[in-house]
Amino acid sequence: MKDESIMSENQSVTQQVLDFQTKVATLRQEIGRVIVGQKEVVDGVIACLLAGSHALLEGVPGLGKTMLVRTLAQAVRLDFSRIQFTPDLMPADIIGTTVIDESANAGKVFEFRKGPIFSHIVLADEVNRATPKTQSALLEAMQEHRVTVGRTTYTIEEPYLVMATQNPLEMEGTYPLPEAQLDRFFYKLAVTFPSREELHSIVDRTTTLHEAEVKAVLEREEILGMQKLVRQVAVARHVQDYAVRLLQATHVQTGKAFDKVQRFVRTGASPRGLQAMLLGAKIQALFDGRFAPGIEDIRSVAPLALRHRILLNFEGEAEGVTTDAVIEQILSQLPESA
Amino acid sequence: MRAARLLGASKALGKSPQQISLLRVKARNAQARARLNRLFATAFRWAPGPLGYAAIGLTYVKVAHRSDGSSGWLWLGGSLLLVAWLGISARAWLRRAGQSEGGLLLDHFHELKGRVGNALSFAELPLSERTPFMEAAIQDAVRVGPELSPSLAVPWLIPRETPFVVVLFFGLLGLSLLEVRVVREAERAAPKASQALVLAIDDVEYFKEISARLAEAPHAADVNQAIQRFNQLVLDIAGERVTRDEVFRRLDALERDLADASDAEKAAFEQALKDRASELKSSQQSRALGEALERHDVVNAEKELKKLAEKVRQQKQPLNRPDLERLKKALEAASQQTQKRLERIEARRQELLSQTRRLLNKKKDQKPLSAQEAKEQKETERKLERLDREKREATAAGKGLAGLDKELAEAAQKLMKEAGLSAKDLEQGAEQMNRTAQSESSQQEKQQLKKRLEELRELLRQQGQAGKEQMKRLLRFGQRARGGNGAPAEGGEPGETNGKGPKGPITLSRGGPGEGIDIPGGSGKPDAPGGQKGQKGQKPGQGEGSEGAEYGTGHAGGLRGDSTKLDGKFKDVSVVAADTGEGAASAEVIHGAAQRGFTGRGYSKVYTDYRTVAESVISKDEVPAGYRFYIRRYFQLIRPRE
Repeated sequence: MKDESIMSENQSVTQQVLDFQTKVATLRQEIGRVIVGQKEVVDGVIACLLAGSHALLEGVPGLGKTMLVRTLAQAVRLDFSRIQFTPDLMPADIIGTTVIDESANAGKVFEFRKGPIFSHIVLADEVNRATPKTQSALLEAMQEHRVTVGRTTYTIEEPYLVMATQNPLEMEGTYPLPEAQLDRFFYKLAVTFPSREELHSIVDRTTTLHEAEVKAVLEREEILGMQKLVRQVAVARHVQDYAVRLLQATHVQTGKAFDKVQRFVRTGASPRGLQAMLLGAKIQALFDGRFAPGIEDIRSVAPLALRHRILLNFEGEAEGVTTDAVIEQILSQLPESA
Repeated sequence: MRAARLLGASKALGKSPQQISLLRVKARNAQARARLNRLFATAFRWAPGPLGYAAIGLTYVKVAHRSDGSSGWLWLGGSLLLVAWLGISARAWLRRAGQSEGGLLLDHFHELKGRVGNALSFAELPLSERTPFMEAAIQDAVRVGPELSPSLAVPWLIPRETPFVVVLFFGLLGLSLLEVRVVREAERAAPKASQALVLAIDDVEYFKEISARLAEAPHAADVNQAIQRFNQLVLDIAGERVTRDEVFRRLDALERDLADASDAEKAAFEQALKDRASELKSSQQSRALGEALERHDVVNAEKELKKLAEKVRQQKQPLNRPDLERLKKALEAASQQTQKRLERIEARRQELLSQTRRLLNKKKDQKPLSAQEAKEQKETERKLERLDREKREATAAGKGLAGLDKELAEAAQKLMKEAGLSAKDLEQGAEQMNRTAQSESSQQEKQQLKKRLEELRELLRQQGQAGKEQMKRLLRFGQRARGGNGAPAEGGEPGETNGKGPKGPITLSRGGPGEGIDIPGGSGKPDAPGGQKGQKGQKPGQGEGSEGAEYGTGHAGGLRGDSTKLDGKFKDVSVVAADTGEGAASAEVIHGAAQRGFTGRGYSKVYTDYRTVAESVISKDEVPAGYRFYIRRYFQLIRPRE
């Protein structure tokens, strides 16, 4: 009797995982209609969507960051808004503002007009060009999924995903994101330059009459259901322990700090990094049709989840060391079981 | 494909308990293999340490042939190293890389992305705590269980150091079988002691001279043996083969063997001779014998005994009866002297004993002794002690003369009956006397040898206190004493041959100023530092005229004196103080000796004279005991050299 119930539960779980995989594959396919290559970035963005968190995309101009987010928004039936961050952008420009509404019946009434932040998917383009004041306006929305204006708090409808992009080259006139805000991004995705084949495809698609049409393949409820499924995935103790040790290894203060950590790291990743790693690993496992993530999943998502959460010291900055190099050393030297 | 696999996982439900056991077994197997690999890797990595140490240690033991206790440290070191190696290896074996290690290894090899590890981890949880995802994960892993291969996942690894360790091991094995030929050096005769006693060459020569002198004359067997031992000791010292302690030990042994006759016993012996002498003097015939004994002249006494035997034996002019009677009584009385003396002592002793007993009984009866009685008791006890000593001495002396006494008694008995037999007894008595003489002579030799031993002992004692500086000074002094030029002393100038400086003393220093002993005639400062050399005094001889091969052209002061010695061979005559003899005065001879070394016949004579006087002064106890050594040492150092 018990076996039967387990069997039915198991069949249900298996079915859910299969559905999940199918939906993700469909979504990838739709995005792939527009975006050539960039598999890791696409998966990362999808993972952020399914984790209910935000993504920071970094790459030189012209690599399709904005296009990717726009395509994602089209592929899922969700609201989308794009904010072009500039130095003169004010918080009210993104949050919204109170205006006087003159109507014939009620007379003059103050009414809050929601800003672009109140969409399901928000593209914060070149987020580092806005002033810190404006950048910080995103903080509450990103973490709490709500916005407080005056005495009123407005909840943002789920799913909520902020996709910020930034250009790593043009640093003049930019305001690097504060650590607190960086920490709120689930993944930091590096948009790399396309390969030769990918460039051919890009040219073929964009210089001809061919026009890609993206259909919405996922409904809002489906996305919420997938988000729920992700959180149901169990993590084995040794995998979780590995993630914990990995996070600890990014800190200088822990017992046996690795060489690069010892030399170049000022502050290690926060517990949000651990959460990001585990959620990311769960999503990876589901992508792969598995019921639980393994250490390999943790290892694969660790750079995405930790690279923007580790702060280098002056020596690290001066030496041109990247946080990816630090994470790579930790991953190569940290034993899988302890 | 993925869907099919997922569906397969759900079908595997129901077999999970058995299948998960299979997973566990395979995971454990993989883990055990991994641990063994770790053990071998660690053991081989560290094995060169103990093996290398063993090889070095074995080589050392074989080459240095150390099979005694000194190789204990090697064993200890080896044991510690072995224990450390075992500890490190055990640690590698016991170190568990987590419970999931086996599952992870299987996952890695079969590219299962953590399925087995997760399933084993979830299976550890109670059923109630498992979520559907956990169950699904377990089923997913169970499905692939039969395909898992621990042996492929964890193959046996040959440690990188294996060839080196194997070579080292077989090398060690070969080394242990190797026999190293032992070349043993023949034992050298008497190697030099590491802390051998070193005496100045001069002193060594002195003692060699003494031992040679002692060995020249014939001696009694025991004295001869003692002299040989003394000679050997001197040779060993000269060869630097004995330590200071060893020398003192051998000196002690020698002295103990020599010390048989004490002075008291000698006195008792002389008294015994005197007693016999007084009895023998009562007869006209034996008076000469008695007188010889009275003088302790045992050699003459032997002659007189032989003469007496001759007289008794004489047939032509036999002794008259009264003479014979008196001789018989004298001989009888002489032979009974020991007995009589012992009887006297015993009688007196018994008397004193009874007196003591009386006083003791009074004491026992709780009657307090008066002051007079107490004094009397003490006096009696002292007397008793003295009598006991006298008895012992008399007995010892009697033993020495027992042979003579026996022969005299027999001679006396036979004197009246048969003169020939009596004469024979007297001759045997003479032989006994000869033996006594020899014994006495042997005692004298022993005394002489003892004196030398004391000298040597005192010299060693003083040398031990003075140290190396004195040794250097003695070396220089020895060279100069032989007429050589000693190296300049520290802080001093070599002596000038014709200098006119103050006459300097030759000092025997104990390492500091002011303790020198002047050679008579010297007038330098006695507080000159040790080792400083005296300067030449006045030119010897101030006689007139000069030595030449030609006839003299001048004349002596007194024209009426002796005729001119035409051969021109005349000697300088010095008149110094009361010395009216020819030749240089003693003081001048000594001065000359001080400059040229203690050589020459003239110096030998002067030395003997002075030495004799010094010895006689010493023997009369006119010199404090502490200074005797210095006097003897002084004469020893300035003795004539060849």
